[in-house]
Formats: sequence, C-alpha cells, structure tokens
Amino acid sequence: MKLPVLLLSVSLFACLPACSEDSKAAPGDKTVQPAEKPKDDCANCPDAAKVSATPAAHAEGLQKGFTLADYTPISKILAAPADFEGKRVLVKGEAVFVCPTRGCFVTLKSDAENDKALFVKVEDGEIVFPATIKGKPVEAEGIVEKVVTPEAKVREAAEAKAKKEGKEFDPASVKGDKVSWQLRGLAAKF
Amino acid sequence: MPKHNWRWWLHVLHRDLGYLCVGLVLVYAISGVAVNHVADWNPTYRIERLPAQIAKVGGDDLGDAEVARQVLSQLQLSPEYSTLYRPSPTQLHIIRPNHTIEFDQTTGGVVHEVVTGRPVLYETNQLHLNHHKGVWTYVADAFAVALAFLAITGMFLIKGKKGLAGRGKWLVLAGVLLPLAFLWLH
Repeated sequence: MKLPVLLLSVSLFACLPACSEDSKAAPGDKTVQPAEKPKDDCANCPDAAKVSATPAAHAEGLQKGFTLADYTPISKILAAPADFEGKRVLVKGEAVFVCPTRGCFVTLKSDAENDKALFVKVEDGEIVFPATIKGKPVEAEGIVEKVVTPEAKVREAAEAKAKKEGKEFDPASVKGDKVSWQLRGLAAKF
Repeated sequence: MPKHNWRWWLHVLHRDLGYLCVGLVLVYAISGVAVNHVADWNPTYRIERLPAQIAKVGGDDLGDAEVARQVLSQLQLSPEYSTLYRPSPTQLHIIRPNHTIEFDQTTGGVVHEVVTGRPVLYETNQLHLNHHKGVWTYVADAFAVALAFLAITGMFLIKGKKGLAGRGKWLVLAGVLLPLAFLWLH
C-alpha cells in the first residue's frame, strides 16, 4: 500500500506550484471565431500596461464572428476616434506590425496616409496573427475603445525603451496619462 | 483449436493502433511543448533583426516611394514591396513578404526584420493547431479517438497484481486526480 499512497501524495503535491498562465495557442488562421472569455496577459506586448477605459468593450452580449458587411475606413476612425467609442466596426487594412511573440495584436495601416495606423488587440490565444501577415490585407471587426495608460507606466515604458536603444532618458519628458485608441478585435480574417 | 479471448484481441488492437499513432503522438508532443511556452517565444516563427548601414536618403521633398526605391537600390534588392509605413517622421518601414526593412532617415541605419518558419516546429504546429482545417480536422478527431482507445485498452492489458486490479488502479487514480486537483486549486 506504500507505493500507491506515495504516488497519490506526490500527485497532489505537484499541483501546488502549478503554472497559472494560460498559454493555449489558437488556430490563428483564416476566419476565426473567438470565445467570449476576456483575458489579456501578453506580457511581451507594448500595451500590456494599458487599462481599458471603455466599458462597452467587455460588456455582455457581444456577438461572435463577423456581423457587419460595410467597412469603416480606418482614416475616418483615426480622424475622430471619440465618435466611434464603444461602437462595433468592420475595418480592412494592410498589416504593418504584428505581435512577435503571441500574435495577439496587429496594426493596420490607414487607407489615407502612410504614417497612421489602427492598433487591433485580440484576446491572447483566441486569435493569433501569424508573423508572416505583415504587408498583407487583414479584415477585423471589433469595438473601438479608448485606452488610458497611467503616467507612471508611460514613464516606465519610455525609460525601458531608451535604455534598450542606448539613449538618455529624461523623466520630465513624460507628462500625464497617455490616451490612445484601439480596436478590441472580436473576429479577424487574413 | 485454441480460441483467442478478448484480452488477446485487446493486445493486438492496442499494439497495432499504437504503432500507427507513433508519428502523430510525436508531432503533438513536440508541438505541445513548443506552444506551451508561447509566453517565452514564438513557437512557429523565428524573427531575426539584422542591422545594416547605408547612406542617408531623402529629405522633406522626397516622397516615401522614392525613399523606398533608393533604399532598396542601395541594399541591392529588387524594387518591389508590399507596403510602406512611417511609424515616426524619421523612420520608414519597407514591408516585403517575410522581410521588413526599417530605415532611419537621420542616420542611414537599417534593420532587416526577417521572418522564417522554425524547422520542424512550423510543420508540427500547423498540424497540431489545425491550420489547414478541412480533412485534417477529421484526421485529428480520429487520432484523438485512437488515443482514448489506447488509454482505455491499456488499462486491461495486464492481469494480476501489476494490472488494473492491483497497483494499476492507484496509478490511474493518481493520473486522474492530478488534473482534477489542479482545476480545483485554480
């Protein structure tokens, strides 16, 4: 009887320091229908410190998959993002940046200008943008939301970036919280 | 004539199905370990960033397309690209298939970001994560059924104190309790 009891004890003991991070990968290809459970834990992504300020993005009743037929130009959203806050939109654009680790975000270039783009964030593991889609057209549907990054976090990120690039960092250069806009992606096609 | 009993058939099926599943078990095992650590690395693609230096290009009068053309010419690359993007006034990204050239107009500095599939892992992840969909979905489902069959039949292969009636039941119990305990704790 000693062996079975020992095995049982070892099994239970092994559970205690168990990993708490969900690292499930998602299909990441073609049209994907994400589940509804929100989870945003991409520690390697630049927006990991951001806090969403738009409650509608996580409200219940969000529909899965593509529900819209008409595209909203990215340039229109970027020109007046507050007008679209909390609204569900369908956008299309060329991917100009993709999350290099989890594929949990993509930046879609504006239809009007080379220097403006819309950040599309999806739930980690639910939709995975492959690193090879840069330069290719991507369609995404989701909710436009305002993201407020606290001043301390902005300063921390700026300092880390300056250190990485070997540049001097002036803490006084960061003033106040940073407000940015993103699309909380609910469906994507590429 | 000796008659084969059910345990004999269990051995035969378990053995032959086991042989059939070796390949896919290894595919899923290798891919499983890789994607389980997705927080630490990209399990499918290797992304390399290679610095280079060219002469400064452009001024306020040059359009992005002309800057890109001159950069590509200096790098001795073909003039084609998928799209251009300016993350800042002094940076131009020339995006090509699996290759982005990040050009700094103030210094002439270039970073080549090259994306390649990781050997073996790219292929195993494609299968494990069912990127192909279609027929592979059914193959994967059949494999899952086969694994369940192997698990269940495996419990009944051995008789006596080393079989399920003996120590086997404790090992099965431990194996079932481990995930249950984890779920309960978390």
